[in-house]
Amino acid sequence: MTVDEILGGTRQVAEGVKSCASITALAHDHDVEMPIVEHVTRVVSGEMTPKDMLISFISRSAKSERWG
Amino acid sequence: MTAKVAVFGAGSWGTAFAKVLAEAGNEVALWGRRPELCEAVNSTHENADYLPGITLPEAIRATHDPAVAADGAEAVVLAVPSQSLRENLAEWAEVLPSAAPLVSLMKGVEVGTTKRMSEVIAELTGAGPDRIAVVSGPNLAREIAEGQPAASVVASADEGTAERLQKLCHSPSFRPYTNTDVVGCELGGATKNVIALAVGMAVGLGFGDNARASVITRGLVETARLGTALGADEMTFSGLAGLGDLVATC
Repeated sequence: MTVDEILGGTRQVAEGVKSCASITALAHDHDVEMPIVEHVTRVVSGEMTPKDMLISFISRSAKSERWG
Repeated sequence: MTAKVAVFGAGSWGTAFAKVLAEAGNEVALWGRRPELCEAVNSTHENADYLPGITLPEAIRATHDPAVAADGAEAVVLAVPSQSLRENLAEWAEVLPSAAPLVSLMKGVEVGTTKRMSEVIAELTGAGPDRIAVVSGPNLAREIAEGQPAASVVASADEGTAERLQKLCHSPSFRPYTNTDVVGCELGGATKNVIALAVGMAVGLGFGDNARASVITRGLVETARLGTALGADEMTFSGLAGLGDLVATC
């Protein structure tokens, strides 16, 4: 499924797309790690594919559930 | 005595919430940008563009004049697209009643400033935290307009404000709970759309319930992480404005 196919959907999807970058910026301003939000932002901007995103998630280092 | 409430924004959620307010016993002034849409709402009692097939209560009167909408309002609800709030409020600030609570239905973070909607409201109107509130939760507009039961959160730093607003919007099918964590409720609402995109991608890649649940759960964890850094209460994220809204959206 391409990003365009996913984004072709609803108005809520449009809200998510607009908010991606600003939430990523907010997280960076406060030094907070938000891996899912950051990856979605990069997929939406075309920097990575959803499949790359999955591979990136699965290869993250193991940690405790309450880390960070 | 019936209260009058103004709802600015005649999209699907603004209109659905106006219906909730009317069913809770209030007179509602619904502001919409287009005069034709306002005419249609007043004559046919339907907002065909955003909620086709839903009959709106007669207690809802639409107007494209912000001063008319705001006149005598005991509470002002803001339901325009989040990125348009600043521009809109700049126009409306001077006609809004100075003591009326300002209630945000908007889920988003302002591009460029990274401000939450309540912060934009405070900046443009000078309203203090006791006058600002947020309604959030699993509130898909269509379902609410159909009268399906739903719960949500009315959050304000001032408990009295939250309780008064709770009474205003407690209808036979809409069940509001109060909370004082405005930051947490807003971040839950704004971030859930992004997490939902990730869930959509997982589904698009052919994955099932495990992946969906894992992304939802870990998405909530990072939302709570951001929230805590900004002063929110962690517990808010396991509530209606966190988990509730995310599950409804995904």
